Amino acid sequence: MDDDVTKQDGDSAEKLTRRGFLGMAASMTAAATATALPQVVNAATGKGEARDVLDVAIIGAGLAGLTAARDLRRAGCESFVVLEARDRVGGRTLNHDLGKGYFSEAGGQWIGPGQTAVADLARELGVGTFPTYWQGETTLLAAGARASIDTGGGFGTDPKIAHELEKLAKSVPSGAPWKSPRAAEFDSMSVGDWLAKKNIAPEDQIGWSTGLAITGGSSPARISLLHWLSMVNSAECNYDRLEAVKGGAQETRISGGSQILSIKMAEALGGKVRLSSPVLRIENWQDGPVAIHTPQGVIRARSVIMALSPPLCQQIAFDPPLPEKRREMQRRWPAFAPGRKTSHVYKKPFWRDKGLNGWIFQPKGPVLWAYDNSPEDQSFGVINAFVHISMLPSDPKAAEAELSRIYAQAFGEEALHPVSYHEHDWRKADKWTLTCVSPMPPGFLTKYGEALHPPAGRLIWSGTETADIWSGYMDGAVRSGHQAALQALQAVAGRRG
Amino acid sequence: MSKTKTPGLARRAIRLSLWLLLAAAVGAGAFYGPNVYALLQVSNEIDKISSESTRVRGPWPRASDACIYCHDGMDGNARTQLYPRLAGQPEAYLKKQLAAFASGERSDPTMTPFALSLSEREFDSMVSHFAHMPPKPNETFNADAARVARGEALARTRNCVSCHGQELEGKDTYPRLAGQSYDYLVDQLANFKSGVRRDATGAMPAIAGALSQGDIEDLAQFLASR
Repeated sequence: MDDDVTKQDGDSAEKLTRRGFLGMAASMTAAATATALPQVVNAATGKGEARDVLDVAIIGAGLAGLTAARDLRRAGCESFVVLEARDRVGGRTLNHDLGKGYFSEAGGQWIGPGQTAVADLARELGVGTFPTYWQGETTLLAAGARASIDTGGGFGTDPKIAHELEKLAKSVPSGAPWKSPRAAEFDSMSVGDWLAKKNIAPEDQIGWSTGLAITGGSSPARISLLHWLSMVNSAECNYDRLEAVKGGAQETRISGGSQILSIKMAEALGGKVRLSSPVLRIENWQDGPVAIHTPQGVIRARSVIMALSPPLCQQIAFDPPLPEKRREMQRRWPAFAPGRKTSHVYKKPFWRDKGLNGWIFQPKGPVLWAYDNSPEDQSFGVINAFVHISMLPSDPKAAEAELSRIYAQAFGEEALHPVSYHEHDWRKADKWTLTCVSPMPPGFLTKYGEALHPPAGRLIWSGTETADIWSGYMDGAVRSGHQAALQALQAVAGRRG
Repeated sequence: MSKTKTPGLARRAIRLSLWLLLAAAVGAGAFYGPNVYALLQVSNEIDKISSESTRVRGPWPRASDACIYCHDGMDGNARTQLYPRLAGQPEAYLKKQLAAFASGERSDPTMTPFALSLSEREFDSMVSHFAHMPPKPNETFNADAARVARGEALARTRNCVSCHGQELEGKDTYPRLAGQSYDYLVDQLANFKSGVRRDATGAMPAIAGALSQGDIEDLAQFLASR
């Protein structure tokens, strides 16, 4: 049986290559003659040439797209391709290579309790995991003052208020918050509006602002309470499970860096993944076959898995235009949490010997949160940081030096001399990532949420934003990939039946 | 390093808010030596930051806090060259740009949805917040004297001051250019040149259209260093 499968795979792969080539040639001819002979274009994109048409095209080679591709293959479907705009896979996961087989992450990186989809994927791919380091004292820097204190692997959020949020979150389904019976009420206010009624002490306001910025991507006044409750709901209505390292969504790291998951899936998929193929235009998405235009030519497919974030979909031209509600949803999607993340590499995690956990909070300054991102075997010491983009020089050398001085204030003089420095400003590095998480403003989900999931013609929406659980996380991306593959397989089966 | 190892306090460390914890630890003070003094100091500083923020930027939670990740830091202490400085921009200019982002006249994948998401109250509070923020010199920009001189000559022949003010401080719907972020200036001039950024008066496309990439960089060197 194994032999049969292999043989079948080989044949299909060969056919695909041939089909792909022919398809491209046909469309290039069509493009060349488009102005003079519009009827030729119609013929080329019509249903006449079924053998040039793939069952499924997947747009985006991040965790969602690659998981979907992997599932298609496991189901025996070989008639698909994955189109990726960048010259790399992994989407919003990205490894900095520290040498000697060690990595530090520039993007999404953690697995937490209940994030079983991504944990399973790691196991299936033979990728190990290990605990994020939190043991020891957290350092606080404010003006010239410095202090350290044990925060037990959490951010020390007021448990009373957290508990109130946990209770409210029970009625807000994580995958479709607009279906909560109290949706209108919760979406009419921001988390900040809600907190303002709780008489948060002035010194605690900064804590809430920091916590929401790190987990939610914006300030309390700009994040819908409904959205925030849906995130708490993702974490099984357990606030620590959302926010903390110990027992929370930042608890576990991935050996080889989080991008390894995508790299391994892409390796197994081989020529099915086409890099540097940004999709510019999608035609005939209502009835198919869908024509997907890239600078390398046109791909045609019966179903398309759109494994990219809603605001990125907005960068693609659709002909005919998408349904109005979907279009408005994409146009207004809160793609405004880009994020810049840095990595300082040291010979050893020397702060650990001093009883420090490598964490820094700086209520006023470039460091939003710094944390220990050293490899499991401590062969290097690594301090990663989420930084305030505006408050740090954009020049990497100047940024490195400035952060080193801050780390020296926190951990001692040794911090002045990192062996290397890496950073990534996601908004400026390239145009293929617009936001980390999506800080939903009040009013958005109740007005546009319903347009997030329903397929439009032959287009199946995927990507972490569409996940039922852990939307916005790596786990959500994997879940959304599984879901999209099921939808695509059903579409393929339906057309054959 | 002094540590807070008493079981009671350790439990509270896990359970209490980090920032409240400072107060708690200080209250339990006398027993824990030098670290308590440090905690007291940090706690006082955090108090000061919080009350200063309320005094300058209004009561927490503030809509304008969402802008500081990319623009101007907490009170105009911007250090990036990639993202624009908004401190001291004329109110009319800020209004016009936010409205243009919302309408799509000036399109940006971050700012367009951001502008579209603002209530009228938030819109006004952000505009007023940055318009009243005192601008600071662009200290992280390392100017090249020769390029600044060339840029200054270009600014003179193009008569930038006629719209942007004698000190390039901006007026009405014309932005402040003095001390603006260098890379942002280069990007915007290139965008006017390519037509990505529009200007109904036709002035900026005409001026930028006649500049080479080298000219654009020289001009940006001059403006950023003002």
